[in-house]
Amino acid sequence: MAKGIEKTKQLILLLLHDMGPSSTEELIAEAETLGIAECRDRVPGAIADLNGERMLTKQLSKEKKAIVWDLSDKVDRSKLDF
Amino acid sequence: MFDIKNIREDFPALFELKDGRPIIYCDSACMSLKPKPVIQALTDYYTKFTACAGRSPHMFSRETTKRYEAAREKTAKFINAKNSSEVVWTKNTTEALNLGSMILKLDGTETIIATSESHNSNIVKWMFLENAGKIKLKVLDAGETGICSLDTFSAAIDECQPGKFLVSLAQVSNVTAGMIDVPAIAKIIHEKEGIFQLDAAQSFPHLSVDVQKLDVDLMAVSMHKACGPSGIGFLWGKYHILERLHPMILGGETVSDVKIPNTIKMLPPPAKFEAGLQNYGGVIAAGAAIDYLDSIGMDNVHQHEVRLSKVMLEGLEEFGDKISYLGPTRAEDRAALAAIDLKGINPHEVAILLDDMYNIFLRSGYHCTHAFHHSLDLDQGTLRPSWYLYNTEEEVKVFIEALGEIIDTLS
Ligand SMILES: Cc1ncc(COP(=O)(O)O)c(C=O)c1O
Repeated sequence: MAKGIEKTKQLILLLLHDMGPSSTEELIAEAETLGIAECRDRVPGAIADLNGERMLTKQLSKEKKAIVWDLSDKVDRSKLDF
Repeated sequence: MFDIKNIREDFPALFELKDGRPIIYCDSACMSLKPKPVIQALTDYYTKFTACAGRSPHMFSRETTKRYEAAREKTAKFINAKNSSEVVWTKNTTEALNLGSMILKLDGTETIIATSESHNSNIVKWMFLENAGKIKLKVLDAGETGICSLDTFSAAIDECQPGKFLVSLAQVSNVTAGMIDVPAIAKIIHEKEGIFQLDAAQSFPHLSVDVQKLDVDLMAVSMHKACGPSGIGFLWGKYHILERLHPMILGGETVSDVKIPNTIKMLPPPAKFEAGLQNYGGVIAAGAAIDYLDSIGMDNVHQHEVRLSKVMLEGLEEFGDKISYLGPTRAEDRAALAAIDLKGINPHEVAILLDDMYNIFLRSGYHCTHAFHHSLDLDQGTLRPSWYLYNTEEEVKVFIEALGEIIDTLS
């Protein structure tokens, strides 16, 4: 489980870059469509890690009943462009 | 006397600060914190007499052997085993349950009975063996309470061939917190000559466990949930069952002699199961954890946890239909944990906010009971606080308040 976490974190940064601000559920759903294994287990742990590293910003949304995550200023967006 | 202040002082991790503020640890169903004597026992092994047990004649090795076997003796006494040879060291409950499964002939005629709320460590192996055509698996629906009635067990066992089935159940569920009536189930199983394997991962750390009273045949425990170090657990088994049990790993220390051509003389239990050099530090520190729990008294631990449960359940009731929790509603009927359904709010996000804003550490998700969560349509998972002897009623109240604030902010 812990082994793939760096890859999952990278995936989340890419997803947030592509999708814009998103909730955990939205990120899990997108990871699922990409066929990422065990994303329901992996994505939240990776988000918690990124949040701990201050790579994400969070806004609490009543509308979505969720946290809306976005990339923080610490993330070099140019590295996420393809 | 149960003195919570003194107990807390034994657990250094409780006094760690996060961002300069105190923390609340309520993830003990996953991993308990460690008291000073356990940390000291581990440190002593690595600083004062690091060696392997039983092989070398020098002082370090003699000391290791003495303490390694003393830990086995203490453990046996603590669970009222007839003999310390009935205790086999393993990595954890998962390994112990896997070792217990080595009692099977795997000829396709045997039935395994488990329940839907089983932890993955007590269901994945059975599914795997069934897929390979080696056993028949019956998973009884435990419903939302997580507890099957005795009639349900009787009916399932009635359909099994005498002497050709194994029932593998958790005494306390890590999600519903419900407790099963072990002796009553044992009676039904033994009337039909079946084997009863008990997953005691969530009961051993919290209740007085007496294997003779429970009358199970095999029992799996993780010491890391019971104040012990990580990487150590044990399988207890009735000796005549352990004699029949095949080792899972073979090698040094499991044999009394080996000759070519192919002649091996296996050692009796427990040695035949403990292949290669062992986690000596872990075992010795596990012995210190047993001493620690024994000095407090398991009945005291349990009573304290019932008080914590009461505070938690009363607090959760206040949320009305904004949330629900699995398992029995009476604190006396359950362990001091709750898997909480947040009704559309993602439990991982709440766990992150609890960590981030309130320094409250707990677990979210499926808690290794994927099948059970799916069976109840809890596909987002649940939020699980789990309390132990070092937690206070005040901490439980802080958790309830924090949860309320988060739910109000998000809905
Ligand atoms: C009921 C139950 N059984 C088995 C296990 C597996 O324990 P371990 O991971 O220590 O092997 C756990 C762990 O959480 C558990 O709660």
